[in-house]
Amino acid sequence: MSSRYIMVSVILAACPGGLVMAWFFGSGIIINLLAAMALCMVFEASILQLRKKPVSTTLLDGSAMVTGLLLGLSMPPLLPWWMLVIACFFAIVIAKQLFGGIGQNLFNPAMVGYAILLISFPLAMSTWPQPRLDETLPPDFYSTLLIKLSLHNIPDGFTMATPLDLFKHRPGLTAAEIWQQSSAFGLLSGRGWEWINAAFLLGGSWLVYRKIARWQAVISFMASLGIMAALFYDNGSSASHGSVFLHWFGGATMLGAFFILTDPATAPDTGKGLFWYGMGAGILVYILRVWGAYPDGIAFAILLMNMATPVINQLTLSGIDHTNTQAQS
Amino acid sequence: MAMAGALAAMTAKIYTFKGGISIGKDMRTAPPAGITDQPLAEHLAVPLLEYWGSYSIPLVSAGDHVSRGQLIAQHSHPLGVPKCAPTSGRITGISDHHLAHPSGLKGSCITIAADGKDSRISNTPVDDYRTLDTEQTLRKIREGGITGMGGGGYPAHAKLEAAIETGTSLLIINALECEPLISCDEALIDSCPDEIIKGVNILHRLLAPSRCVIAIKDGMMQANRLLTQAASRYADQSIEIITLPDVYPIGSEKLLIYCLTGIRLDASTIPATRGIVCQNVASVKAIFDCVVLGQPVTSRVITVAGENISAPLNLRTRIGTPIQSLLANCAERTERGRRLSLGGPLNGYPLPHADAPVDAHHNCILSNPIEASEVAPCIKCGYCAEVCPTELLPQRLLWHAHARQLDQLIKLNIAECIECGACDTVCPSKLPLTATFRYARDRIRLDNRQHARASEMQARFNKHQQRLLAQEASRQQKLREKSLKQNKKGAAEIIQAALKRAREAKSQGGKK
Repeated sequence: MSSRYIMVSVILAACPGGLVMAWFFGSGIIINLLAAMALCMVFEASILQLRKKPVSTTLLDGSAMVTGLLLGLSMPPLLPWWMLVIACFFAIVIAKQLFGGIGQNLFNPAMVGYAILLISFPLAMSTWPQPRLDETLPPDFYSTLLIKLSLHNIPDGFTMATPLDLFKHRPGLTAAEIWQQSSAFGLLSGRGWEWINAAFLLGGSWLVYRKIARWQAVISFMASLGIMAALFYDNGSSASHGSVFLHWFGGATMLGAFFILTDPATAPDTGKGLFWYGMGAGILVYILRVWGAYPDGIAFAILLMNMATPVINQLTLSGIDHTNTQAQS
Repeated sequence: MAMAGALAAMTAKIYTFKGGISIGKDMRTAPPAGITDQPLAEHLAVPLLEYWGSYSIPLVSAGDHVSRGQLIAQHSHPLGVPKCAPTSGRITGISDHHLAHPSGLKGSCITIAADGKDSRISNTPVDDYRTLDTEQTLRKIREGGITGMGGGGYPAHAKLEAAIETGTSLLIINALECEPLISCDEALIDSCPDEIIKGVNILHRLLAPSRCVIAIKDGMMQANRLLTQAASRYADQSIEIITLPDVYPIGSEKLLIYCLTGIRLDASTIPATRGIVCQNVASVKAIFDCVVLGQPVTSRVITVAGENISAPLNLRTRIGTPIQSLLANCAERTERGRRLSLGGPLNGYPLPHADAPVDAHHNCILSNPIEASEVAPCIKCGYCAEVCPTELLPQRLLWHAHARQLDQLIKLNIAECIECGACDTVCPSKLPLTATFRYARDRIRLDNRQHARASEMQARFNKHQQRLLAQEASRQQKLREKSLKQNKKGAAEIIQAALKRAREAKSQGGKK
């Protein structure tokens, strides 16, 4: 199994989720994906040239493409094109190549790009169009293109808050009430979003089955997020912070769990370490979603746990007690 | 006896270790049928290199005629074994030849021009091994030149002596041959199972272990059957023939001990000192040959395989045969280049020179085409840590090895690395992990040696300084004593004499 095979498998596994996302939110997703992947490759090629490293062989390892893929899947479909450029620049040049290239980065490059945009352009980053529901359609290709090229402003009524956002800011309603009142909620979580998460769950499970994504972080992440949600559920009262399924199938949970948390370069080395890493991320995601300023906390949670990875590595060595520490031949 | 052994084998507890690579049925290549005799070479070079890097002392010189099995070199290290002539012929000299070592360095060898008659020296067979006592048996094993034939090359008599001193709880006959492509041990079992059981008898009598196990791997069904039959006929004590799963590197000594006993021994512990003896099955047969038949080690079975070899063979070849002649016997294709290794595909060493001679502990020669290296950077995927049988963290060891941080490597237990090569196989970036760890361990060894020498020199310097100080102090003491004596005699007289001399000098000067 070569690294190229691993990267191609990741891209394939993300296809169901990406396609479902494009179905619900329009062609902007596809444009984002293609543009982000292309931009990431361009930035990577330029930096490799500057660093006097072999360009074509390194590009072919596919890691820049995967970063572009993850960026493309995290961005809102109507995001202006120049913001994408900024995100890809920070992801590839700053977060990855400046740290030493593949395998040497401390932070997940896609999450760095996303976080920088989220903090710098909070409005644009939280502007999601109306998804494809019974009454609404996502924006068509032509309008999407014009908006993304900053040739057109986003017309009123085009956008809608995300379900997690709506749930967080519901005015004193119980969970059952907001579910009835708003058309944004479906079977388990937000409409559209639950299908997107289900598709990522499908692709991600295949990755775990093929042993390309290691299972320990995924399971502990989902479990700790679920436990936190269950603990604070408060029976769906007006003060409730959301059910287990709302969190599991809402926002970028499955994408984060299977595709970002499992990034080997930024995650701990051992199974034990991965367990604590996933648990920390799950708890942080819940805390940030509920008591933080942003509706979804996946990016920040993962970046914070990336920071913790070296310490986790030092504290979780192997299972055997190698008591002899004398230098031997 | 046989029933007791079989029952014990069925109820024996097998411990599984984490990691390792399962050699699936598709990876398992069909072993070549039987053992082929390698034709006698015209010139043989018996390497004199001993296990510890010392060289044996030749007892013959150019022009001497020797017979097969005749003693030609004496051990130089106190635990060493002598070398015997692999065939009859004339000694042509004692010179440096390329040795089968990755360094490509040359070492001293005794070269023999074979006369083709292959006449043996008269030997001293015994009908019943029980007529020999412990000392006689050990002496015969030592004089037979028996070393670990599974690849280790450690003298058998030294291991047995250490075990006899501490007492033996477990004797393991290692017939696992866990590395893919190697089948020389399996072929040996198939061809002479009786001799192997008789060899086990000899060891059993020497060591008197509480438990005796022959470990074979899953898939060696014929070997299992033949050994069981031979044991029921010839074994003098109960032998458990235990089949272990085909997981590489289960044949590695420390792991094998763990699988059978659950005891983990670290890299610095010698199992014989803890009452566990592990002996390769070919060594056991060699013990039978030398104790009962009176024949020292002059040949061994080697597997020759690899992608360049369409029909792999198990060749019975004499010690000292140039490896090139083994390859020539196997229809080797060289149009895609030739990269030789000594040992198996996972654990093997690169072999720079094909004219190097075969030694007793070589078990496999591989000839593979030269492939372009596609080394890529480490992506921290962690597959290497998943397969490491000693549960090390190869990706971290690689990191620190590149940074030359030897103290970190020691902290991460690089001493426990058994250099099995499992991590190399699964690495998606095709990193040379095992080679890096071999280099790092060698560096640490050299570092320790230099450190020890430096400490020794410092201790000597300090002693020297102290001695000088002591000398100086005693000299001062003597001077003081001397001046005290003089003072006692009459300081006044000396002063008077000096004053007188001064007055005389003054009056003489005044006269002028």
